Amino acid sequence: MSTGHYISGIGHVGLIGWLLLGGVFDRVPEPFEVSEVSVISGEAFDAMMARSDAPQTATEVASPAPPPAPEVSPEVSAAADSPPEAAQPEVAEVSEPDPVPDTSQMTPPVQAEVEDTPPVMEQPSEQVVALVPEISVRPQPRPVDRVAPEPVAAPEPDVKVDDVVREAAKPQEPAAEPVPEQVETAPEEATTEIVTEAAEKPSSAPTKSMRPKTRPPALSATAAADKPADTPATKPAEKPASSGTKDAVADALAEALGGTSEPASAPSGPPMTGSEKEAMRVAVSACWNVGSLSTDALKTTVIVAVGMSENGMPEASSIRLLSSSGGDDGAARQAFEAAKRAIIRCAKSGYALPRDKYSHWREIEMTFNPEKMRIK
Amino acid sequence: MNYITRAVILTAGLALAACTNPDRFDNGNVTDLNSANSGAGSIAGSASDPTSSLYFQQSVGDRVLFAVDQSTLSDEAKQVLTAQGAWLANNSDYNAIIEGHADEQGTREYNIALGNKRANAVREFLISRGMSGNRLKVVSYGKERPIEVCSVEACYAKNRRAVTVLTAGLSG
Amino acid sequence: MKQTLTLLAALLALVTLSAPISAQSGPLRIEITEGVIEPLPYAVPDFIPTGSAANEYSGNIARVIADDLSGTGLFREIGREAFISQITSFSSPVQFADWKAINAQALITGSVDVQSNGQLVVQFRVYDVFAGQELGDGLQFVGTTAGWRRMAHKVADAVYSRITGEGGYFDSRVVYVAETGPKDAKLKRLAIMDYDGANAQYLTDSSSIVLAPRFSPNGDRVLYTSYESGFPRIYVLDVASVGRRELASPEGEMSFAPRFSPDGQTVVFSLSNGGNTDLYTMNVGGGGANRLTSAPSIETAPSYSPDGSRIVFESDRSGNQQLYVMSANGGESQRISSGQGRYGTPVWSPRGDLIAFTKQNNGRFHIGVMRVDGSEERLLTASFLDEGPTWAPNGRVIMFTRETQGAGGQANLHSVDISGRNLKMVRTEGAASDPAWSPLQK
Repeated sequence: MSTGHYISGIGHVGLIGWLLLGGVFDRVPEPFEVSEVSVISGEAFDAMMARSDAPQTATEVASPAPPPAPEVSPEVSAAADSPPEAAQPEVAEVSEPDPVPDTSQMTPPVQAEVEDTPPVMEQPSEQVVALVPEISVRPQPRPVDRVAPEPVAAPEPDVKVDDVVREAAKPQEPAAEPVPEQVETAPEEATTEIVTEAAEKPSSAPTKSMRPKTRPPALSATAAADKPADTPATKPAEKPASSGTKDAVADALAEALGGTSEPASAPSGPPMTGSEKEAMRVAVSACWNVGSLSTDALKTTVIVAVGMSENGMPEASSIRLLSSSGGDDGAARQAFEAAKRAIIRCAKSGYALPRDKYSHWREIEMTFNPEKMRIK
Repeated sequence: MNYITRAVILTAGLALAACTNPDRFDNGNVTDLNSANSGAGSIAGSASDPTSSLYFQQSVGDRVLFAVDQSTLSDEAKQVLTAQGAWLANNSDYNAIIEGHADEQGTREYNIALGNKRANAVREFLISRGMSGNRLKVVSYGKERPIEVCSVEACYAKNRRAVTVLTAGLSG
Repeated sequence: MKQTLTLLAALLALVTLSAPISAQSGPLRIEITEGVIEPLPYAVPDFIPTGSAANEYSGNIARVIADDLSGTGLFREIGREAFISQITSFSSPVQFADWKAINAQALITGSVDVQSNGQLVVQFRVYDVFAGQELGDGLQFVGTTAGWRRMAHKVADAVYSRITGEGGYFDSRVVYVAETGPKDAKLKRLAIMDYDGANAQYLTDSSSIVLAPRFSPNGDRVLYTSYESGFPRIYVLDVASVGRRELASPEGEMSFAPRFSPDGQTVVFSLSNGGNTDLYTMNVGGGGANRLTSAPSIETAPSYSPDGSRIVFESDRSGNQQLYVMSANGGESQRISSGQGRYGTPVWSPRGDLIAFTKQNNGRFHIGVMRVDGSEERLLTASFLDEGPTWAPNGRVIMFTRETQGAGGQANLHSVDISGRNLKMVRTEGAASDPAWSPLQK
């Protein structure tokens, strides 16, 4: 036989053989894994993640900031406000400040506030953190001196009180430069509403099953998903994105509908996003102390103008009262002074406003409306 | 009823033959010139002496009780008061001041007014039984003079009372 | 997810392209609706004494001021040990940065001087630290050395007013009933003290029951009820001389629950007559009583409005005790209480806006406030037995009696802010009840 024949024969045999038997060597297609995908709300996701994270505190510390607001997606379970509705021109998402009782009475988890200071387990009976709903008694806010939009756990006894959380500077070996002594501080403990003696004990029968929430839902509109202030890095990246999407949609709608946000064609950069304004609002709110205002001043709404310098610091001399309503001159003056103190105190080293949008915020008009703070 | 009581007193008086108040006009049989005419009771003025205030307190019953916030007389109260009235009628050298009280479950001024209402209810009942009004005075102590202080209903019930306190009469 | 983003991008592009190009660059507008309620941190270093005679006052005055301010619950003192710089002179400028660093939002500095004629001169300034400026003008008080506490209270009042905008109430006194003994054998006597418990002294002895004293509008006289005659009768006591006289009322009747009218001339009170209790007025100097109510029910515990035009009182005409308001001349009354339970001891706030009261419901007692028309009722306390509220001169704080349960229980004075916060006991030497707050002293 000639080589040609051999080659041809081998080729034919090979071909036929492969046709017949080749399938044996194929890998069996892997079972098609169809996982159930359900859409869960942002904070249920939070809850899931936090539950696994509860024992550890946040490992990454963002730059010090006023007590960080919890990150919650706009849809708070209790209030059930739909994001599009909240797209009012001036005001970013505001969830109801007084939602259904079970949400307003949560104490926060330790992890929300304390960054590097050791976790503080203050009131075990009120810690609903990682507990599955077997609890029958709803926790009530403790009567605490300080009332703030977000509850703050009590700092450790020897930790000094400050707005900012800092860890005590550890003594170091002779360092090249002396490290300024830093005292451990933590925000003062706070609760969300004034608890008087006359407040009745909650009924022990649960009317709603407890969702294992670890973060208090936004009682004041701290629903900013992408606050520049800080984002605990333990949050998986998808979380900001998912709520960011919703935010972005809302923002887009807000901007599309006009309002005060500058259109894209303004010469100094894109307009302020809702979440940036939100950040500013939250920052000033944290220092707006109405506790020592007279009852008359608590009825007075004041509009205050302030000029800002480019590094985010307010110019104290530029703070002026534009108008007031609801009280006489004396009350307006008290309200104005409290507002002024708020603006100056929380500026610290400058508000976190985007520099490239400076022209949009070099002049700010803030309306301080104490209506909700009157009787908490 | 009056007659029965009188008969009893009469018999008791005869039986005891103790010093009696010579001013008792329904018993002319027994007199004792040595008896002291003290308004607070006679020398042998133990509770067995029907003319003594102790007798009044313990056997006749010097107090009636009331329900919460009420000043109406119960049937039991009426019985006691009727006995009181009879005794006072027979012992006209005594006057009485009726003290009204309330329990501590109320505000101060209202309890004074409530005690007054209770005392007055007693007074009016006694007057309706024939007592002369000017022998009876009324005062209220509100919640200021409790006799039981355990702060539960058993004690409160005892504090809601009107007490008839005997005082020296001017009439002889 | 990706689709959403794409959609979003498309939407954005569509929208911004079609949006009108307007060159609006108005100011950024932000609305602040939530804040914090927390005690305002302040610092009050010792007042600077000028001369050694003033040394004993320099620390004491600062201490009284700090106790006043911190005692309101609205202020929090920053202790000495935290101070970075010291105040060494009353007139030298303040290093605001040092006070900002310790988060003192208000700073009070002062000086105290004992003059050659024995008078005490106290000066003070209060600073808004974060604004970097003085808050109002400095003030100076002159008085006797014995009155140093009053001057400290006056400084605290000025600071309090400047910062909160409310009137002050620290330079005031409280008249009350001091109690001793067990519940079934209590001895009671009238006593008077500074609102913070200092300088307490007795006004009567304990030979007879005394109840519910009330101040005259200028704080010089006290009306009270006493059993010294065997019956409850009303007496007027002059605080300075501690002399007293009975307010004449018909013989044989019981009169109690007196209160002054805002002009100090008329006394409104309850008179019990034949089982019925009604409201009457009479001139404080004497004269006949003028009947205001004539219902067969119990009417008692009257209180004038600050303008003297109306009277609020309690009556059980509806079946249980409720609050009613009528003209000061009597006549028709309107019921203002509407909740479950029984309402009593109404007291009109000196600001005219609220009425404080005692409420009983489900076996508990509460002190509460409501608007003058009865709306916005709020309960501030809850316990076994709370009663008899009295208002601070600025209408913001209420003092009342709290008695505890059982044979071993006793009565004490407590105070609470009208927001319900800062409930605390007023320290008295022994047990105490029936407080009445004087107006601000001049």
